[in-house]
Amino acid sequence: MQFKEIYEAHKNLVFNLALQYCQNPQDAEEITQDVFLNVHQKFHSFNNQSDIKTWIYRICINKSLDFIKKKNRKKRAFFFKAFSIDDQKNHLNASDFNHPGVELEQKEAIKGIFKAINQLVDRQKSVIILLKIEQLSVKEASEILEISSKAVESLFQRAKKNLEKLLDNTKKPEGK
Amino acid sequence: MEDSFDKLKSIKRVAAPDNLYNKILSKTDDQKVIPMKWINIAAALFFFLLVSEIYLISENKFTSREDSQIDLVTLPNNMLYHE
Repeated sequence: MQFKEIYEAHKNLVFNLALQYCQNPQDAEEITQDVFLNVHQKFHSFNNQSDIKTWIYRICINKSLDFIKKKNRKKRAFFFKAFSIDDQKNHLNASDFNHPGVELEQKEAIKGIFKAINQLVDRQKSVIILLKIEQLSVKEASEILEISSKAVESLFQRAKKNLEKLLDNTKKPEGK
Repeated sequence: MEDSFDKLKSIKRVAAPDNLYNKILSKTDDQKVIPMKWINIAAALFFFLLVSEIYLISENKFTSREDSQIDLVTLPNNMLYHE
């Protein structure tokens, strides 16, 4: 299989998955480039061609999480320099939200949900994205994350509980 | 909660930008990756040089500076000519 074929077969998968992590097309494009650079370097040594999709999913998740960490680190350094304050956890800023797959009438609601998802720990975030946005099965998610199906299920339950709490917290000030 | 998940399901798939492949190709051209084999050879050479330096220094450590100076300076024998 040639690199171009691999790219054509998986470009939308990678771009969309990156979008679910960073929620804006510029960052997703950068992540997609990083993913395929990595694939280009390593696909000759990749033996198990049948699992190429799982392999690319895995690279994309790792690259996306690394990208977000790097971005948050840069932001934190800027805030420290500019205002000398610790901006709490400074998770991926909601102001960066520019998801092209979200319809205008749903934009605010989905922006709020993503704001909560972005505050979850990496594994829980990945499980929510894979199961609920990418709509993969538990088995597929377990292969990608290299954990058992049971572990995926319990991770999802924990993520769901935390997400519920986070969404409740964001709704409370509006209810007052 | 299920309502939130339903909203997430409504997110549409987006096509990747057309110029992305060319950008990736130009980046792969820019990236001149040094093969691991050469990195290992360079590291082994450096290590060998370092070890040989240490060995040579430890071999020479008992010869004092004065000894080497004596070798260089010709000693006067204080003998007069036509004696």
